[in-house]
This record gives sequence, structure tokens and C-alpha cells, in this order.
Amino acid sequence: MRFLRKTKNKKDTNGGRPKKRVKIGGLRPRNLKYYIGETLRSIVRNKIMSLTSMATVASCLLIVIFSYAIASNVNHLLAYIETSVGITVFVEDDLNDTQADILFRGVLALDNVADAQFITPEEALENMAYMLGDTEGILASFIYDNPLRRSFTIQLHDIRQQRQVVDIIWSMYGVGNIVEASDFTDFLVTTNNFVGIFSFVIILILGVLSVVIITNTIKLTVASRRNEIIIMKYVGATDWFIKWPFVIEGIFIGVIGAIIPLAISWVSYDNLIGSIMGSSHFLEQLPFRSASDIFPIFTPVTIILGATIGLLGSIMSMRKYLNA
Amino acid sequence: MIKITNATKIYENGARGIQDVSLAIEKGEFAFIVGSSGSGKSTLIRLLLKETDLTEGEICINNEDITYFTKKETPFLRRKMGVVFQDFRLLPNKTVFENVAFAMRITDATNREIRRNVPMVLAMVGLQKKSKAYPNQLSGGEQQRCALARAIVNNPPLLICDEPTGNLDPDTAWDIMNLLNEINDRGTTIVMATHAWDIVDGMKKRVIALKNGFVVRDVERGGYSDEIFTEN
Ligand SMILES: Nc1ncnc2c1ncn2[C@@H]1O[C@H](COP(=O)(O)OP(=O)(O)O)[C@@H](O)[C@H]1O
Ligand SMILES: [Mg+2]
Repeated sequence: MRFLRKTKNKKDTNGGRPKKRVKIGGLRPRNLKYYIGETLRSIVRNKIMSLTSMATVASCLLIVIFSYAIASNVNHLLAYIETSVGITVFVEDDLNDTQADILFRGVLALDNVADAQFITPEEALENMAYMLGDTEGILASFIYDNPLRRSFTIQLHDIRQQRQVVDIIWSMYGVGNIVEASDFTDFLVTTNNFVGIFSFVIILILGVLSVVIITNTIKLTVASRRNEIIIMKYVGATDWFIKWPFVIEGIFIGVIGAIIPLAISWVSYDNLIGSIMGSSHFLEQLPFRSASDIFPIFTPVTIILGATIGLLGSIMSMRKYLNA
Repeated sequence: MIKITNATKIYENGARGIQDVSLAIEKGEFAFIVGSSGSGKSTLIRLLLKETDLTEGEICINNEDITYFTKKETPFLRRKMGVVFQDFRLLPNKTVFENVAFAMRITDATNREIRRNVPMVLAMVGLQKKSKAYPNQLSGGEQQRCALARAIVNNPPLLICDEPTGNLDPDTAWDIMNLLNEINDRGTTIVMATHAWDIVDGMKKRVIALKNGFVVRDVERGGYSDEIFTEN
């Protein structure tokens, strides 16, 4: 009969076996449609487990996004503070100009000091008068007997080293006082570290949980398709052909689990930053990052994370099946 | 086509599947494997499918020694043989068409080939009108015809059947046998395990009888009946 034509399959010259190395599972576009159909079918069949897996991945990744958003803002603020808010060193009154100059050069020569500006008492007085909105009275009354000391403002390369720099400067001759913006930077650094550690732990726990739940979801799918797998093996399906739908299912769950928190955080991010900035005049002046700054990075990172979690889950669920 | 040499299969629990079986089945032959329940018919079938490994001896199919085939090679062995079981083994959530197409998807078949070949085999087994039906909407005979269509859609040189008529009433069983005969006439080698003596007698094909795992009889154009009395 005609349908019993001699198959033109090239592999037949080799006794039906692959020449050397098969394409990974023979993933071809025409099979992809079939695999995706199978994936959607099994997700619908195991609705509850699929949704649970997606929700777990989503909560895990929401925390990833949240802590990453904090870290990204804190680093940005620290960078800003490093260049704007500095340390002010006041020179002892009884130092003469030469001694003050030696101290200034000494400070400027320190490793971590990016720049420093010497401020004479006259400049300081002018600044103060300007800030107080009085350019006449104060200047006039103190011009001959300036109570302000010489000072220098210092900018650091790395604001996290501020403590050490301040200690070194204190040990130098002629330092009257040092004023630092340390409270706020300390707060930022501490917050950042805390959020970092805290979210790392939570992410780890939720990440493991996500993988375990996805593993179980896919195990259910594998179980519900046991007969199908047996039949597939009878008609000569390779292991990879059988595995692909489950791999795709895992990745699909992971990616959906990534898109949900991305959508949520993208929609709410600018509002959240807005209300933080609105809560005080001080915060209002700080350069927080906007959604459009960070989401172009967040989005691919989160989706890749989700896909990886899903892939891990499906690989783990099939390890046992493969040995069977 | 099939060459079995001193093949012995002893299961892990000590049960003797087949013992010291040697036989050759030529290309184009139609061979019945007969014997009462537990005589080793299914074991022999499973060995041909490489579903289980030999304890001793060797099996060659198509001049290839499959005794030491690895897990990776097994799928490609199975693509060269169709299989039909007593319990049909159709996928309940797929249509007749999809159940047959399924066997093509796992090979390199394109969608065009699938759309061309599946209706052809369905027509051959007389299921062309049922291609959109699900297995639970079919009679036993129709289900087995669907399974048969799936087994031959990739045009395998060898068709292996384990009690294909075991779940069918006599008339339907003969329909299936006629189909098998037709497939055999086109050159496909057929190995069929059965204990349906009337069918074996009626077909007048080669009969290989097993008893306790041993080959006790191997005749061309034989029957089942004389053997039935020598047993137990
Ligand atoms: N999976 C198995 N594990 C252990 N023993 C088995 C297994 N399958 C079959 N047997 C034993 O092997 C012998 C032959 O069985 P089988 O090949 O199924 O015979 P048949 O198909 O002729 O009824 C029987 O004694 C049976 O109990
Ligand atoms: Mg049996």
C-alpha cells in the first residue's frame, strides 16, 4: 500500500539510532506548539497546584524586587551623599595660618579624601548670613571680630569609610571639632545591610519553597500522565521528548510567577516613593530612583530568576522519573 | 528479522519468564506465540520491546544485537516496531486522530505528513468516520483498531501483539485478525502472543508454543488444539 512507503528518514541508514548527538530532545518549532498545548492542558488540569506554585514564586520574587529596590535606592542615595554632604573640620582658634594650612594639606592627603575646601571665617560668615537671609546685620556686626573658626569641608571617596577618616583627622594636630552627617549615612548603611541580610534569608527560604512546590506540582502532572508516558515510551519517544512538556511547564510557572510581582511593583513603585518623599522636607530633596530607572533592569533579572526556579523544580521532579 | 539465541529471563523474585529459548522469525512471517497463562508469552514480548533485560542469551532484531542496548537506544528500536496490547492503551483525553498522530509526533514527522498519513491508516482500519471521537466513545473493537492504526502509522517492519483479541468478542476478534492478515500480506512481520486457540487454528500460521518458559513446539501452518492437551 502507498502509506506503507519506505520512510525517507535519514536515521535508518544507521539502524534507526541517532548518528552522534540528537538535538536536545529534538526541540523543533513544530513540536513546540504541541508541547505548549500539553503544558497549558496540564496547568489547567492541576489548577490549584499550578496557582499555588505561581503564588509562591511570585511572593519570593516580590521580596527580591522589594529588597533590590531598597538596595538600589540606598546605594544611589549614598553615592549622592558622598558627593554632596561631607565632613566639616573646624580648626582650633589658636592655630596660625601656616599651621592651619599644614592641617588642611594633611587632611587633603588622606587616602579616602576625594576633595576638601578651605573656608575662611569670612566666607563662613557670608555663608551663614546668606542662609539666615541677612546679608547686612551680621556681616556688619562681626566683620572686625569674627567669632567663626576656620574650617574645611571634606568629600570622601567612600562614605562607608567615614568613621575611620574622622578618627584619623581627630588624631591630627589642631583639630577643634568635627561635624559629620554620620547619623543619616549610618542609618542608610545599617538599613541596607539589614534589608540585605533579612531579604537574603527570606529569599532563600521562599526560593527553596518555590522549587519544592513546583517540584510537587510537576510530579502531580507526571503522575496524572503516567499512562501517557508509558505509551509514549512504547511508541519510541526519547526521554527528552517526554521531558520537554514538564520542563516547559516549570519554566512557564516560574515566568508567570515573575510577571505577577513585576506588574504589582511596577504599578505601585512610583506611588510608594512619592509618599516616602512627601513624608518630610528632608526626604523630598533626596534623589530617589524612579520606576523607569530601575525596572528595565528588574524585569529581565526577575524573569530569569523565575524561569530558573521553574527549571530547577521541573528538573528535580523528573530526576526520579528518569531513573525509573 | 528476529533471532533469539538461548534466551533466559529470570525475574528478580526468581520467577522463570522464559528459559533457553532459541528461535528465528523471518521477514514477512506471521508467528503466533501460544501457551497457557504464565507460560512466558508476555515475557518474550517484553524482551523484544526491550522493556526488560535478558538474564542470559541474546536477541537480534534486524541484524542488530539488542541485548545490550542502552536506555538511549531503546526508543529508536521501538520506532521500528508497532505494538498492540490486550488493553488497547489509548490516551483517554485524546481523539482517535490524536492518538494515532501521537506516534508520529515523537518521530521526525512534519505536520503535513501527520495530516496525510493518519487519515490513511484510519481508513485502512475502518475508523475514518471516528477520527474525532474519544476512546470512551468507541467499542472495544474500534479501540483496538485505533491502537492498531497507531502501531502501523510509522510503517514499522515488525508488529508485535500481546493478546490483541483478549478483550474482544469472537466476531470483533476476527475483524482484527483480518486486519493483521492484511498488514502481514503487505510485508510486515507479525509476532502475536495469544491463547485464543480458535484463532490460531483458523489462521494456519506458524505456531510457537511455550510451556513454563520453554519452547515446546514450533510448527509451520500449525494449530493450537493438539498442543492444548499436552499441556498440564
Ligand atoms: N514483572 C514480573 N515480575 C516477576 N515475575 C513475573 C513478571 N512478569 C511475569 N512474571 C512471571 O513470569 C512467568 C511468565 O509470565 P508471563 O510472561 O506474563 O506469561 P504469559 O504472558 O504467558 O501469561 C510467570 O510465572 C509470571 O509469574
Ligand atoms: Mg501475558
